[in-house]
Amino acid sequence: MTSTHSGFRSKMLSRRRGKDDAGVHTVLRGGFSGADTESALLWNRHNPWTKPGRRGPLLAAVVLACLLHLVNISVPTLLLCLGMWGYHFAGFFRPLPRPGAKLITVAGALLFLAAAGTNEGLTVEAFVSLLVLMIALKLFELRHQHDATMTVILNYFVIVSGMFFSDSLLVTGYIAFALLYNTAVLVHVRQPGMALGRSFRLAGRLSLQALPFMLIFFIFFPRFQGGLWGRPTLMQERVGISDTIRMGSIASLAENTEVAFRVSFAGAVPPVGELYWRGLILWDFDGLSWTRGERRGLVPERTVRSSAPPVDYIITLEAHQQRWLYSLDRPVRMQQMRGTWMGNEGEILTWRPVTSRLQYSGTSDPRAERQQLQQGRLAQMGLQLPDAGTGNKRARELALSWQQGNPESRAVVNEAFNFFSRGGFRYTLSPGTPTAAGVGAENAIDHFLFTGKAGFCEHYATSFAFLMRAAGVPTRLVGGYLGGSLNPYGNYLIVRQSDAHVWCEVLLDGEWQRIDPTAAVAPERLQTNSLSRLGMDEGLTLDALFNLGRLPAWLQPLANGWDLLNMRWNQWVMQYSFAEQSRLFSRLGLDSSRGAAMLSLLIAGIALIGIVYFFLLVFLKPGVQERDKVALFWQRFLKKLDKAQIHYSSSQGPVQFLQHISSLRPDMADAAAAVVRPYVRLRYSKLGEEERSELEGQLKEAVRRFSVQALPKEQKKKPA
Amino acid sequence: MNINESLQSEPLAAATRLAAEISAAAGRYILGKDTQLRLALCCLLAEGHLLIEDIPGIGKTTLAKVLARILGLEFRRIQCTSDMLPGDILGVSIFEQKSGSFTFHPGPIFTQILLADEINRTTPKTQSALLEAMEEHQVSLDGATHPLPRPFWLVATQNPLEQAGAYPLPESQLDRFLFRLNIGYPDKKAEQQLLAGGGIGVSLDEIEALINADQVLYLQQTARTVHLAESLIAYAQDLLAFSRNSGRFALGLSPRAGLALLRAAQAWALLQGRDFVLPEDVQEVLPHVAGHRLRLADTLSEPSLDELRRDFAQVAVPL
Repeated sequence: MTSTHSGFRSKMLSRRRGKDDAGVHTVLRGGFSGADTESALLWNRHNPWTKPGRRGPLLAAVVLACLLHLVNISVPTLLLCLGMWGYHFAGFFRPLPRPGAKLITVAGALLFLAAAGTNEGLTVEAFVSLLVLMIALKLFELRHQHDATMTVILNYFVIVSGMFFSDSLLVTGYIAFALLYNTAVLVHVRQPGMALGRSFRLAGRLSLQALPFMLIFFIFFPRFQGGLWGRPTLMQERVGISDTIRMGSIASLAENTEVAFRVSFAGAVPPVGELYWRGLILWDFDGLSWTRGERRGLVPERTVRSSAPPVDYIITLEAHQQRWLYSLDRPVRMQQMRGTWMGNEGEILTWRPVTSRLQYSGTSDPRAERQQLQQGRLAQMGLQLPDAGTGNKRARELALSWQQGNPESRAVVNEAFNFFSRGGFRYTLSPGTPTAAGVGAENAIDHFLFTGKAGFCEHYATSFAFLMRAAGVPTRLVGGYLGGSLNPYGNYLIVRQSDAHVWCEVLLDGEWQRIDPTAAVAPERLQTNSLSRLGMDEGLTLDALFNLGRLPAWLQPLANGWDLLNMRWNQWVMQYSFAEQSRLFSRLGLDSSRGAAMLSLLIAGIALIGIVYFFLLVFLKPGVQERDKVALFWQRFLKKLDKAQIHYSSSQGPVQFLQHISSLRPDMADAAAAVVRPYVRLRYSKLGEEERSELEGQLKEAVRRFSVQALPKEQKKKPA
Repeated sequence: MNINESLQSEPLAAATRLAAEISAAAGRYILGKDTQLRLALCCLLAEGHLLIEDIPGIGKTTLAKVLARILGLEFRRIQCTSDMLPGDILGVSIFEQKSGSFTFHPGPIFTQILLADEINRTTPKTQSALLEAMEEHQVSLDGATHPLPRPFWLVATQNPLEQAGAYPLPESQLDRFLFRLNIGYPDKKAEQQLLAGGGIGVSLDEIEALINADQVLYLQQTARTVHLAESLIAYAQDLLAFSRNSGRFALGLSPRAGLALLRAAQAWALLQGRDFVLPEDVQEVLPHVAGHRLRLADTLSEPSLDELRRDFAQVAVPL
């Protein structure tokens, strides 16, 4: 007992004696603000939070909570955070000076600026960085239990905010683990005497007990469409097809194996060549890039169903931050969702950008016709080109020659097809840029058609559309995806960014027909999926470990299995939305629009769980029942007292408590004494079996009789 | 009923009555110090030794002497000085020429109540001579073991203010004292009574004994049998764990302190006329048991009684 104590004292003395040793002393003194060396050392020695045993689990919880965000926050904030963690970690091995309150305040303000300044303003990333930095700073301030508690509670926020960035199965699993660990640390903080292993078990038990409630709330708590507060903006870059297509913009996606969406079909999967996933229609060409234009949707069209059976499917679209959805070419009908509608040209548009994963069903007819109803604005829209003098002169001349030779539009299309298939064109992922070859961007089409002759789908599609328009054939560009790889386990299609594709629709005989010029050059593009095109048979690379789409062939089954799990997770858990909830309620025979019905269901569910718990507690554990009968009566007694605003403090003994009651409410003293007397005997004295049961009877009776009477004022009125 | 008979038939009621009588009787001589008297009695019944820390002239000696008289025990007193040797306390073996052998001449320690005044003024060597006597109730000298009379109760006093030339008791020795009490100044009324009466009216030697040594021993035995419920032991454990883990104290309470705490609580319960211990009993004696065994972590000073009560109030009483 004494040895460490006096040992410390002597250490202190030797420190004091060594004051002449300027080096050591200044190092010790330098970092302290306000406090002098001695008291700071005392702090280090006697603050329990400097001991690795107390601080270690807490620091681990902080690291665990923030780990998920390290990739989301900006580099400067990341470095600051790692620096502070390192300092805390070094503190385990040698006592380090701690910053004073003033320094912490100033640092807090600076860190706030750093978080806001390096994360593009008030984005989710900025808030998360701020939280992460503040927690790291808070660790310097650990003095009391409540400081540690505060840190743990902040951790909960950080952990759960991980859901903003990813809700995959893996991340969800990690979050669940981090929450469990955090709870264990909370237990550890509040009950320092408890071993960490026991705190873990307790945290696990608490979480398990909360699980049924979580499920009930998950299923029955009223859901809001589109979120209650809407989703804050994320700083993430947009991946996928954008509303501006120029040469090279699709080729840049060609090696990106991120999932764009997944499709499960109700029936058989259509042949690969028919899997054109339509996204957006591009009308306007300004000489450099194609955009959607402003007059879209003004040309009335009509879909005429073919006799072929329709294809039903469900698409799970990853967030792509754009305002359109994808559908299998010739969509006939789409699921009705608020803020979503089918445009005139068969585009599925949304009112707000898709910022979170979205699931919807659709019906398509690949052979349906899209008839043009009026020709009115077609000349403006389908034939729009930049002025003649602006570039691509040779292409225009070529198109004119086709137009003059062929009065039929269809023949012009054939001419173009012949031109592409016989002109020595190559299909390549990495075409050179015209600027690299010394040609201005305004002549990119000329360069591609007559010099480069190598390109990706958008090169062919944009040039084809240009040629058609120059030849007087109304044409528009369609952006979307082609194909997809089938996951044999779940029998669904995974469409990746590498499947991005652009093709044309040409107005022939009053009907918009799909023409894919890429097919003229690389027919195999229509038959294979992007993974095999990318040559995924190389060995296992580091890149592949983080990107399941890039695994070598022999690991693909594994990747497919994992993707299936994620798919189901998304489908059943993450996508459980307002619509699913209403469907569930209607299946249960309830009208979801009536809030009262849902509320009663919620209450019924909670009551059910409560009853199950009670039975488990009372009947499955006879030992508990025996021992805790007395405690049960006592709790009942305390609950009755709560109503009279008399609260039991857990550090009080029963007799003290009785005095407390008597002093507050003398009128209840006798009744309370009748409870406390047998309780005290039962709890603390040595009793025979008979005596015990008799006292238990007394206690039960006394508790039953005990009632919180009306206030003494009213009592006085009664003739006593 | 004679107190002797009642002790045999219903020890509890008798013990309570006795305690009240003793307090009342002693209260006639020591004015306004009822709590200290009861605690001192509790200490005796728990077979623990008492350390009284206070300034001179406050009535430490009187307290010990009055209790000795009332309990009918033999009383001796030693005044500790820095030149005192162990032999001055324990006794010496002297060679007697007549018989040609060594004869043991017992020292002042061979008594029932020993008052060691200003124990911190004597050297550590002499202090440690008391160790064996306190713990084992015997004295080993020159290869022979001499048992001490029973009951044996050591009341030591020390003056907290005088530090020069003093040898503070090491923690190991402090741990052997069950209680440390402060007597404190008498309140206004008691002091007025005291001054008006010109000290104690009667000579201390005239105080009549209420019981004798055997009865004291019997009470001590009864105290040992006071029931300790499982949940109460758990409570004591929680208190010990709190002292070790809360970070409030430089070092926690030892298992011996835990034993002392329960023994004291038993004796206290007996004095209240109960054959079982309540958490309140533990709370009552805890500050006196823990006060001299703990140091505050931040200042390394001894915690005050109020601080101790406040700190340990954080520990919940198990249901």
